Amino acid sequence: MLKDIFLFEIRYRLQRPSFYVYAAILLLTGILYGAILGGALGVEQSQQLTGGGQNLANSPVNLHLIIAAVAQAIGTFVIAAFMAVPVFRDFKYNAHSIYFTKPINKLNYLLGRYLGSLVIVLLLMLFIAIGIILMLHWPYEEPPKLGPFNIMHYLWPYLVSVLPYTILTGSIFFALVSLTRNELLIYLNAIILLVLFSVAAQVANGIDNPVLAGLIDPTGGIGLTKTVEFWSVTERNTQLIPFSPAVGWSMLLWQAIGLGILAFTFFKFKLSYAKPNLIKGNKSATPQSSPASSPIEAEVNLPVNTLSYTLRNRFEQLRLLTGMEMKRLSRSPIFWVIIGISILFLGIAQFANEITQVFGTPTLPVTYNMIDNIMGSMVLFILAILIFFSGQMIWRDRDSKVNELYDVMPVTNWLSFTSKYLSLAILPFLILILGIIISVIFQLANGYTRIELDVYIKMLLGFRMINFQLFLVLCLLVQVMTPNKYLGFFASVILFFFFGTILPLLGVEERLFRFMSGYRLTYSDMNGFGPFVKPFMAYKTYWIGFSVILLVLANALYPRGTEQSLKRRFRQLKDNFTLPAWTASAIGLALFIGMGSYIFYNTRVLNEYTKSEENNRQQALYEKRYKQYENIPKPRIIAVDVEVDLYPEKRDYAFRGTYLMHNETDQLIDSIHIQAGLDSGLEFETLSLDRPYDVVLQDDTLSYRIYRLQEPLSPGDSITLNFEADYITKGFPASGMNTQIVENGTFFTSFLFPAIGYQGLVELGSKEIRKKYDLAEKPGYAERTDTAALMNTLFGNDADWIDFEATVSTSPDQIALAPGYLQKEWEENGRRYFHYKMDAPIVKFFNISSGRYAVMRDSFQTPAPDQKWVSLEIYHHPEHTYNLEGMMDGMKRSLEVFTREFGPYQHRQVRIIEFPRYASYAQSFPNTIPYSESSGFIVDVDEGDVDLPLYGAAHEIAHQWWGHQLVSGNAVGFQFLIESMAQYSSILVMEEVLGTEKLRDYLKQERNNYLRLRSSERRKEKSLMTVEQQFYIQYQKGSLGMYALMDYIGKDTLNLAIRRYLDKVKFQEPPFTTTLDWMEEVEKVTPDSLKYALTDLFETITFHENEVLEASYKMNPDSTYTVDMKVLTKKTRDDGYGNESPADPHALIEVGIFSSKRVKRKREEKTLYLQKHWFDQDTTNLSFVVDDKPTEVAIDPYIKLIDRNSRNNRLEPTELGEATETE
Amino acid sequence: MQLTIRGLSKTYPNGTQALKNVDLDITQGMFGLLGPNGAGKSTLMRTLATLQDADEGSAEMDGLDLLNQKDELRKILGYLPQSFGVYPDVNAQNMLDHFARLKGIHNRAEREETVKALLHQTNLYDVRFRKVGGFSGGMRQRFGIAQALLGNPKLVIVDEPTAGLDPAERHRFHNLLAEIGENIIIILSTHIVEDVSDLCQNMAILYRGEVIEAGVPLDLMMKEEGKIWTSVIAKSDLKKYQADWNVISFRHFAGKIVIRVYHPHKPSPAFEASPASLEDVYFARTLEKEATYAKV
Repeated sequence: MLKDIFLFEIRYRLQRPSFYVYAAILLLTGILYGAILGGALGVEQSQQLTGGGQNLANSPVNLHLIIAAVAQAIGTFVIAAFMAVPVFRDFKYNAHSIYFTKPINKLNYLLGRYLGSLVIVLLLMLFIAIGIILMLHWPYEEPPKLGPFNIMHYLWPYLVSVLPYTILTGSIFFALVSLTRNELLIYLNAIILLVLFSVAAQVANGIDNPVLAGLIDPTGGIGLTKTVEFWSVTERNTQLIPFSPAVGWSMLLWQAIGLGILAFTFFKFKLSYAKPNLIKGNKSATPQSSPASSPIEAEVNLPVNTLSYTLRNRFEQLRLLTGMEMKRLSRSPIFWVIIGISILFLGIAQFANEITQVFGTPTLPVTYNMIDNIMGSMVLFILAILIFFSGQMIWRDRDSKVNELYDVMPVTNWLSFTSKYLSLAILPFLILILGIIISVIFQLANGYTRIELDVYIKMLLGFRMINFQLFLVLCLLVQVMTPNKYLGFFASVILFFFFGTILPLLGVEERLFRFMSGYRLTYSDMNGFGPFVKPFMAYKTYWIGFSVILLVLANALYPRGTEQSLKRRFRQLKDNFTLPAWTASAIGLALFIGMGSYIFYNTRVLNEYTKSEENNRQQALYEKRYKQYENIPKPRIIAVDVEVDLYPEKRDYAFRGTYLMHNETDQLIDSIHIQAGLDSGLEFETLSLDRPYDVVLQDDTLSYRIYRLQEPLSPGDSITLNFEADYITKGFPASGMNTQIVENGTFFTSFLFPAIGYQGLVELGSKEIRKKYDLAEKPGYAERTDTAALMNTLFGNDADWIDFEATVSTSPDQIALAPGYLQKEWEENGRRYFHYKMDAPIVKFFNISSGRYAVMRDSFQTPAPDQKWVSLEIYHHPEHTYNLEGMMDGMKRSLEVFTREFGPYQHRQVRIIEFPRYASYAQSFPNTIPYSESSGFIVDVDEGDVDLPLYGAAHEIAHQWWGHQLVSGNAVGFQFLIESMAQYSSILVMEEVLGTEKLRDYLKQERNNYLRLRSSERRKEKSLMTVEQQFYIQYQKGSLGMYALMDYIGKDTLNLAIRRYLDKVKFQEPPFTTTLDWMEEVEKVTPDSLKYALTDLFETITFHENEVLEASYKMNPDSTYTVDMKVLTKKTRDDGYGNESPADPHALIEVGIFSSKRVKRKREEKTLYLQKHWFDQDTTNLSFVVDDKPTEVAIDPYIKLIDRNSRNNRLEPTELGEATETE
Repeated sequence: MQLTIRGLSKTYPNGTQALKNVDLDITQGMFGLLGPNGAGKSTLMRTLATLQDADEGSAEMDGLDLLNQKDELRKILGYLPQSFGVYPDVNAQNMLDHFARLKGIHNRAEREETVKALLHQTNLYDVRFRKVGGFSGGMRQRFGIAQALLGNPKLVIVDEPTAGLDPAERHRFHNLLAEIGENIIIILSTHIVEDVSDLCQNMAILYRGEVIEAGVPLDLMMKEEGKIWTSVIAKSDLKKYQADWNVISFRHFAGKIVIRVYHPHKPSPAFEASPASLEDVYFARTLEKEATYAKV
């Protein structure tokens, strides 16, 4: 019988059109992803999915993650549609009274229906893979990078991800709908489940322990990503994602829960007419009988009514209907479920943020962060609610059959639709007000009292509210037009993805074509809503105009009466377009066209409109035209003098200045090439030399000029370039709003000023994109032996050391800054002027900043022998006073450590300058450090956290040595000398200030980040000594390598070598230094036995696999303990492309034995033994005698070496029983 | 007051012709629209109640174009649909008040008085604070008529109002309609002949979308006087009689069958004359019409 029911279910489903509709949708989704992966939509798009570089388009990891994600995002609705209804269907069509009176067995009935639906869903899901296979193996003109076809790569994700997910969610849907017999719950459940899962994933993602993270995420997605997180490209390209503990335990737990729910359903379900009683004491509604008949009055006397239909009455009716709709909404249990879930999500969002942050340091709950958290967690949820309730609202009158009563009332057409619209429009307000309340409570609970209600209200109930209202209109129109609400739900979701995801993927970048799209609106404490309000509102008004038309249309199409075919309603459309409707649509159209033109004028006429493709094309053109001039002889800039006028209110600026240039070559220079203003919006009015010249070329598109000198510049001779440029902010561009010059917190760099000669920085990087423009793969950085390359520094090819002087003027309430010492400050013509001058040569790398700053000042005397007073200044937003002390302290400690360890500081001042959070980094210019408001200024440093302000200050101040004293040659490895050395320097400071234990937390983060980020390498992973602008190497691996080396040879020895090296190369003239020189000094102080470590850490990519395989202990008669352990100490080398091979296991590795106990709920660890040992085999047995009872035995206990699986480095030893003397 | 319907036709998208060239003249008082299920009664009622559009034809009442001046019509219209739902969570008084406001009764005192009077009239006053969703079929139907009578309508359309009512409720309902129907037009559609014969001054029989008879019930009965014959026969003979005579109805009675035959004169000695009832008229006309269809 089970078989019959099972087969019936399958046959039934296969006969229904919905099966084919869903199959088509999933197939199309598969085709879309396949097409993107296959490169049908362009290289840029496919790289987003594959990661580009060595990654194969059909790598098993990629396929797995994509199939699992689609099965979750779109598949959930399919699961809901098929798994929820197999039993409910019988109730809906009243077949249950027929079915249940047949001699069927409950288990067979339920199981048959369940399994039948499960098979159908899995069948449907297969269409995703079919679509992908189809498009990946499409005969493209330029086929994507594919590995051999392997059917297991496609089936495996179904086994590991899709099937378990379907069973879990399917069981939940099946249970809820079968037991409650309420169809409405189906789609709502799907939405709620998806949101819950995404929150779970968000929380899980922030958790370090992969198994725990995997357990939290019911979809298993996090388990997957955590498993492959540290995988190399080769592994990703060739291996299936295994049943790792993170995947396996999660699956076990959630499948158990899923099956438990199913079992509960089977148990609770009753083959009966009445609903099962899920809650005790549930009253069933029985119709009330009519009261005892009383005799009717023979005389019928009804009062005579005065009816009136004035406009005022109409609005009273609107209020009445809206109130009624809202009351109805508030009485529905689903509404309260949603409110409950909102509170839950909002709470989780704010809480989750606290436990997942950079370096374990939470950010202060500043209002804009609260807002970001609210929006991050609520946007999709609110959109889902709008989709759901617009379906409910539009269809409810008809579903509950009150429409015939309402439709004959003398109420004008617009009233009923408008009342529904208004009552829904209030929903997002309610939820976001709730969000504000919860956030404020959260802020207060955290002791943060700067509550900015105005920002909350403007942002959440104003700017960010608009999109919800726009989307609501769309949903209502969709529901009015679709023949049933379920189709309406689906169409709304599809439209959302169409405008938000699919159009951009198809290359439609123009926002005017994408409903609801517009400007990002970033709130900054320093600069408020800044320059974004105008464009943001322009785009929103444009869409509001459009929505008004949609709204009028929806209103006109809103069905009234019993005949509701869309065709008929369209025929009557004309009649429903009354004068007010025409007026409203005319206003809407006027807004739409007016704002559209205004936006067009701003983005196309006032500003240049460039698609990203166009940018690429220009970059390619630049290279093709001017690369030939890269190595022509050029003069060097030796002095820069600039005058900059900033107009923060207008967001304009102008600068003039001179470059004094010197021919340092031994050749005559006959022409000067000038690159000025590329892609910056600057208009150069003057760009002239102080000697006679002819303009040979002036390419305004690519901003390149060639001036031929009438008389060539002889070696040793000088020439001056005069320049003068304006930047006028005109309206707003389509993208890339200039956030460098802003009302408060201007910050831009020397890159805006002219450069001399061809600039290699402009060239395209991506191999695939270069190929599109017929450019050969870009060669990497020069080798360290390339003497020509070493003639230039990392800062550019037109200067080495310069004299610098700048006069910056700004608004009278602002302070303007540039590197150097303030010579003079004055006011003139209502403007404030600052004149800065450097007292020693600096690299050509400077910044211009201006803002309404408060200043904290201090000074510090560097240690002997230098004993120089350094003035310390922090220019900050007056309200950001939270971490000033910490920063100031960080500056002092850094100066102290660096002068002691590396040598004197070249300047007499250090200034930290806050800038708005349009960027979130800090950058070190000579004696000047702009620092983003979002990173250092608002972190919440508690006792025991890694101190971000300290780290940040230390890192940037270290650059005054590494980058401003030492300047590396433009060859591979240069970023090691700059960034890795700055990382190492900050480690020195952190170790002194925070202690070794905190430092270990920091290094653990560095290790995880290194391992995670290296897997997205597109080209070749290089060694530290040859790093080529690879952030995960120069920062993260730099920290790890330097710390390990320090641990091996000792801090003092290492710093001695570093100091010797620095003394040799600081303020060097060309040719500049490379990592070869650095290594030479380090090798001198490294004992021969440890030279292998230099190779491992700095010259190769070496991984350790250290593991305690077995450990045991026994107590000796003298109360000591003998510990026996067997350890694995394997080493492997990666060739940079993810191919690993075993390496000689020879290594010096620390062995530790610990006894830990809990003291006052805190674990206290006592070290019983800690020594480095030499290992020469993969496995080694060791034996020790220790004084106390060991609880943990470890190899490399503090993970000083790079080890991908560090959890198995420690093991609890087993007790072997007491050793007796007779033995 | 006079409602004139001319040439009203309606075909549904699926091809069903619900109304065929319907002409009707309806005057003040109760008008009964009789017809079997599917005759087009509801289509006609909904068309008159602004819920649906006709393909062709016109309907006019005292200068008001009912088919095109919907907003105006709705101000003087009371409509009780054949079946309707209610919001389960609102009590009768509030719901009625709500409808009264939508109807345009904005004066609060007046509205309260009206609602109260209607609740009394429909005998719902005692249960006015109960949720409409919990009402029995009869109470709900009474609530339906109460809302239809809001705002002194001039045209009241009630579609199958007595379906599902117990005899006492049905009786009460009839009384109420009869009382208010004196000065306005009430159109009552039903397939229960008695409803019409008890209540209506005028009537029409609708069959397959066509008006096959219209007039004053008594006149129609009088016209058939002397043509209705009845006989008590054995069950086994029914087939034979049906073949031989125009049997318009039969009923079981004490193990035998009483048949009624429509015939211009006494068919045979076994038959006795019987006074014509409205039911006889109804059956005779519909069977007649059915026969023309059978021939085609």
